[in-house]
Amino acid sequence: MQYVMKHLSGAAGHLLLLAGFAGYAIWYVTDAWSAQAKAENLLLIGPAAVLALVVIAALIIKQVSRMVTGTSAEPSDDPLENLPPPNSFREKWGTPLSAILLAVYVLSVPFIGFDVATVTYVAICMMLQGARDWRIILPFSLLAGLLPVWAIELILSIPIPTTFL
Amino acid sequence: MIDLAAAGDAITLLSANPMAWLVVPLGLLIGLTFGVLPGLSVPIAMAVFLPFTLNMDFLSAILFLTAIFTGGGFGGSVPAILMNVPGTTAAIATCFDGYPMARKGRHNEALGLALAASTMGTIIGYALLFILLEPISRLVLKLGAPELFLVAVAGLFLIAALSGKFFWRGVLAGALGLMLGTMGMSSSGIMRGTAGSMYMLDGIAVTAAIIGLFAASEIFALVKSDYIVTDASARQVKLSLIAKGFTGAFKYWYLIARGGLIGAAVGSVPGVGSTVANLVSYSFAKSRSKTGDSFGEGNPEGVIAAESANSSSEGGSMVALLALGIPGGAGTAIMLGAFAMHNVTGGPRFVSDNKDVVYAIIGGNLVQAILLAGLGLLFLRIAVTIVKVPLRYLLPVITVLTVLGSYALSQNMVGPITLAAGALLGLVMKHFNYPVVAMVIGLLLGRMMEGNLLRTWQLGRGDLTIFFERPISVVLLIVLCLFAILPFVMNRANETPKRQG
Repeated sequence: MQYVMKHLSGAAGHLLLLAGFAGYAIWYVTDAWSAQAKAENLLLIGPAAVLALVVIAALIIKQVSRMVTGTSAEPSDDPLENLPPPNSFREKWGTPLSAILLAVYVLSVPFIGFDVATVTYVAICMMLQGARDWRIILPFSLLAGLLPVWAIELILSIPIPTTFL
Repeated sequence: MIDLAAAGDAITLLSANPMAWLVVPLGLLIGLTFGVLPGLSVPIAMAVFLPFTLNMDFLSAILFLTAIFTGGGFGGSVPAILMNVPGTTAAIATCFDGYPMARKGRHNEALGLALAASTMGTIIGYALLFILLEPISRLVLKLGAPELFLVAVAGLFLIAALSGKFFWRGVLAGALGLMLGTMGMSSSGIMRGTAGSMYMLDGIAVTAAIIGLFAASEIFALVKSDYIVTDASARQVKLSLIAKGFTGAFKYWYLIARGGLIGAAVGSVPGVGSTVANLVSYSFAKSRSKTGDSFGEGNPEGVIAAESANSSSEGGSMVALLALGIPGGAGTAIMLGAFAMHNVTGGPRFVSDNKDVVYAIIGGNLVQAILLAGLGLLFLRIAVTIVKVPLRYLLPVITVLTVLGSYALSQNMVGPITLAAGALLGLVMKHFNYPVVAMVIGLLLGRMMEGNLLRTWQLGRGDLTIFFERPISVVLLIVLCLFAILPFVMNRANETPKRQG
C-alpha cells in the first residue's frame, strides 16, 4: 500500500492526472461536436480544449524527461506539505483518509439519509483526529450531526433526505 | 451631476423612516451570519428573507436587503481568514494572505484589517455611485457583448499574475475551468457534457465546486494539526488586537482607495462583479507593492487590497440595478425581485423620476457601512474564538455545514457530490502544484464568456473582426496587450540590475 501511495504521489501520479485531464478535454470536445458540429457551438470550447491539450503534451514531455534523467519532481509550494516526515498514523494517513471519508459520507446520504450519515461522519472524523472518549464523541456527533439537518429542514424549509428526522 | 434638492429630500426621507433603521442592523447581522457559513451564500440569505420585505415600505425593503448584502460581503472574509475557506466567492483573494496571517497567530489583526477595508470599500463604492451614477450608467449601456467578453478575458489574464512559477499549469487549470464552466445547456440551447443526465442541464454547481476545490486541501491537511493556530501562546482572542488591525489598515489608505476604485469599476460591469474585482485588486497590489514577494505568505496589504475591492463592488453593482434595471449578479437579481414586489421598475426613468429615493438608498448604505464597523467588531470578538476550538470538533462541523449548504443551494444531491468531487480534485491539484484559483476563475467566467463570444459572433455575422471596429473594445484590447507584455518587461527590468550587481 505504501509503495503504491509513494508512486501515486510522485511522477506516476502526475502523469495519471495529466492523462485524466487530457481524457476529459477530448471527451468534452467530442461530446460538444457530436451535439452540434457548428462553429458557434465550439467558439470557446474548441480553442480552450486545443490550448489544454497542447499544455498537457508539453507537461507530459517535461515530466517524462525528468523521469529519464532521474530528476525528482519539484517540491510543493504548500507549507503544510513540506513538513518533516510524518510519525503518527494521523500524520501519515489523515489527509487521504479524510478525503475518502468525505466521498463515502456524500455517497451514503441517498441510502441512509443526512441524519444518520452526518452523525456517523462526525463521530468517525473525531476519532480520526484522536478523540477516544465516547462520552464526548457520542453527544457531540449527535448534536453536530442533527442540529444543522434539523435547522435546514425547519428554518430554510428545504426538504432533505433523512431516516429519522 | 448631484441634484442637491433631491439630496435634501433623501435626508428627510431617511430621518422620517424609523423602520429603515430598525431593519438595517438586523440585515447586517443576518448577512454576517450567512457570510460566515461557507455554502450558505449571501444570495441565499437575501432569497430567504425576501418575503419579509413585503410588509415593509420600498426604501426599508431595499435597505434591509442591501444590509444583508453588505454584512455578507464582509462575513465571507471570516472563514477565508480563519479556515482558508471563502465564505463567498468574493472572498477568494482574501484567503491568499488572510489565512497565512492566521496560521502565524495574527488572526485578530487580519480580521481587523479586513473589517476596516470592507467598511471603507463600501463607503467608496456608494460615494462613487452618489457622484457618478448618471455618467457611469451611460458608459455601462455602451458595453456590448464584445466588451463584456474582453473584460472576462482580462479576468482570465490574472491566471498569469497569480500562478507565479507554475505559469503553464495555471494556464491548463484555467482552460479546464473554462470547459467545466460551459458544461450543460449552452446559450444557443445545445446540451454538451451532460452524459444524458438531466441534473447536468444547468451545468456544474459552481458554488459547490469552488468550495470543494478551495476548502478541500486545507480541511484535509488540517487533519494533521490540533488547532488552526499551532502556537498555543498566539491562540488569543483580543478585541484590542482586532481594533489595532482595524486602525492599522488606515496606514494603507492608498491601497484602500485603489481597491475601492477597482472594485466599483469592475463591479459595475454586469456579470463580472465582486469575484473578479477582488482578484484584480489583489493582483494589482501584488505587482505594485514593494513587498510583493511576500504576498501569499501573510502580507496585510493583500488582505486590504482584496477586501476593499469586493466591498466597493457592491456600490458598482447597484449602478446597473438602479440606472439600467439590469441585475449584475445573484444578489442584485433578488433585489430586482424586491423592486417588482413593490411595483417599482429600475432604469433611467426610475432614476430621473425618483432621485430622492435613489439618493436615500445610497445615503442609507453609507450609514450602513459605518454601522458595519461597530457591529462587525463585536461580531468578530465572538467569531475569532474559533481559533481556541480544537480541530477535532471544528473540522467535522465545517465540513458538514459546507455539504448541507451545497445541498440547500442545489436542492438535490448534485451540490454535495460536486463538492466532494471538487474537494478530491483540489487536493490532487494542490499536491502537484496546479493553482486551484485558475480553475475557479475559469469556472466562474466560462458560461458568461461563451455567451458573450457567441453574441459577438452573431453581431459580426460570423466575423470576429468586430472586436477591432468598436472604440471601447479596441481600448480594452490595447489594455489586454499591455497586461500580457507588462510582466515580461518588469521581469526584464528586475533582472538587469541583478545581472549588473
